Amino acid sequence: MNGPAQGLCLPTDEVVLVEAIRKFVAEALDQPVQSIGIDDDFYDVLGLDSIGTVAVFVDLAYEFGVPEPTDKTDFEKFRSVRALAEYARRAETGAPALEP
Amino acid sequence: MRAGPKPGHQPLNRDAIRALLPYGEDFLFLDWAEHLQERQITAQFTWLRERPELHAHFAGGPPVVPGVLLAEQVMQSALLLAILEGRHLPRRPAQLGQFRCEIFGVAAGGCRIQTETTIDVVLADKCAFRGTCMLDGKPIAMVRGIATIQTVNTATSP
Repeated sequence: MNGPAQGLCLPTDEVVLVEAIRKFVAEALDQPVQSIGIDDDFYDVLGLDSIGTVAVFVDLAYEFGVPEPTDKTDFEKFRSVRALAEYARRAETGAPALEP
Repeated sequence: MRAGPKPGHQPLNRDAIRALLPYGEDFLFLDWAEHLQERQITAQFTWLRERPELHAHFAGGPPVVPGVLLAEQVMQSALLLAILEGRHLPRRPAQLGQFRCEIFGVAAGGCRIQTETTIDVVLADKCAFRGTCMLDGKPIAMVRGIATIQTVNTATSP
């Protein structure tokens, strides 16, 4: 059984990372990728629910080895594709949790 | 902190599993389980040929385990894992929000199915898991899902 990627393996190209996250969000919402703006608010604009949020983090873990945030207050700060891409990059550098 | 036994302790038999999971005897699809390491468990269940749901699966045909019950077997092992790791309370059901199952083999009545299940992501009260059903060492189904669990406060849990 394939598991989460071992260690972080983010694409170096920012566009590739952002497009991958757009795809994860689109799949979680069952919407076309084109309908997902990189600054669209997951909850207020796109209507992502908590199950969908977890599905996106599962994809991030399996595709790129991005660890999940450890508490609720953290992950609810990630409200857009761009914010999630920044979170992934911060995880890569070992930086602390993203500030809102 | 963890409420349940640490990985590496004795495997659980059916009586011990029954004491932890909320299911009745006829809907408990685990005979044995072993907590291998954090976020990983293996379990077994023998699907007796006599079970009526196997005979009813295909009227007049041979007894075959319905795929949805293989998925349920994985989900039960995931719930047991969450309980053993103190992520959920014993005998309390979890709400399954989403699951996906791929089946690529037949589980005939009388077979013993082994599952290997991991918890992938835990976010607040949601838990994503993934598991494989193995028959004679070969995978016959893969299941992934997301469930709502109640995080246990080990200081106050029973």
